[in-house]
Amino acid sequence: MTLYRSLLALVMCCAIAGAQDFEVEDLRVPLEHFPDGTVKTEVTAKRAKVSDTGALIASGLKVEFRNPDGSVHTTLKSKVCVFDRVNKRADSDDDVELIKDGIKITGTGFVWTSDDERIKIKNNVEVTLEKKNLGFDFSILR
Amino acid sequence: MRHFLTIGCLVLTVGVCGAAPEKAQDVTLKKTIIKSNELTFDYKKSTAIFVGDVFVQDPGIKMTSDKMNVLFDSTNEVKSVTASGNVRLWHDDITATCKRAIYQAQKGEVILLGNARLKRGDDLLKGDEITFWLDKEIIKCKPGYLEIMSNSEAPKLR
Repeated sequence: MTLYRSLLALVMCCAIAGAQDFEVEDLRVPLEHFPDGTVKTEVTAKRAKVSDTGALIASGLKVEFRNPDGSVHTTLKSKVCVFDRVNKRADSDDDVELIKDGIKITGTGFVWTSDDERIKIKNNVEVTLEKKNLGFDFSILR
Repeated sequence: MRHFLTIGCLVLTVGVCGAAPEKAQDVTLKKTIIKSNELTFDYKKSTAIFVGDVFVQDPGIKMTSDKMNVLFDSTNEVKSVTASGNVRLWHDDITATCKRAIYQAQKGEVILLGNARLKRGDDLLKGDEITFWLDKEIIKCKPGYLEIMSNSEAPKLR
């Protein structure tokens, strides 16, 4: 699973919370499953709610992507994320972290826009590739 | 005494991939670290764009630039890396500077463009375009300008 799909998962999570028009704590939403029913992608948030402006706010967000045996291979974390359902835009000014297979991406704040298929990490970007050299493996970013 | 060479196209063989002692790199580093002010993934264009104070630390090379654009191919492998604006590279005891640097992954080719300068000790190679390959001991420079200091341990750039 990729960062792009991670954020798409986040949007789906927010949409679920928004559609039900309530504030919920310890949200846990399985988003994808393997053919045998094992959870493939799961979104959790300590809290998800709809703001006065209609924006969806998820805090303590974590998206886990799992192997068929249930082990987690990729984790995306963000403290707070706001989703504008009208413009299909997810926005955060807080720290974001993505970890997968010895690759770690951290930064402060991000913006994801659905229409132009772009994700921008706003500040303090750091990408660490364990045991890699300049034959960059950036496939995680896709 | 200095030797000056200015020719249309100069092909030099140098020990870029030689066993010169590591100076700019931490040889114990087993990972690549990339830092920048911001990062944008553009899925339509298959690019990752690092902007602002870009810093790359790799077991083989260190680089700084204002911007770095990574282009992927259809199999999600890196196709090319383009660094632009105040590009500075360190590899062993060689320092390179230029306005733009292009790395073609498939060819293992690095092209330095715009006031390109390659410096090793007191020796200097400069031109509008310097090309070298990661798996070959060849540097191509055009137009070529080579400065070798007489007190250098000859020949560093041979």
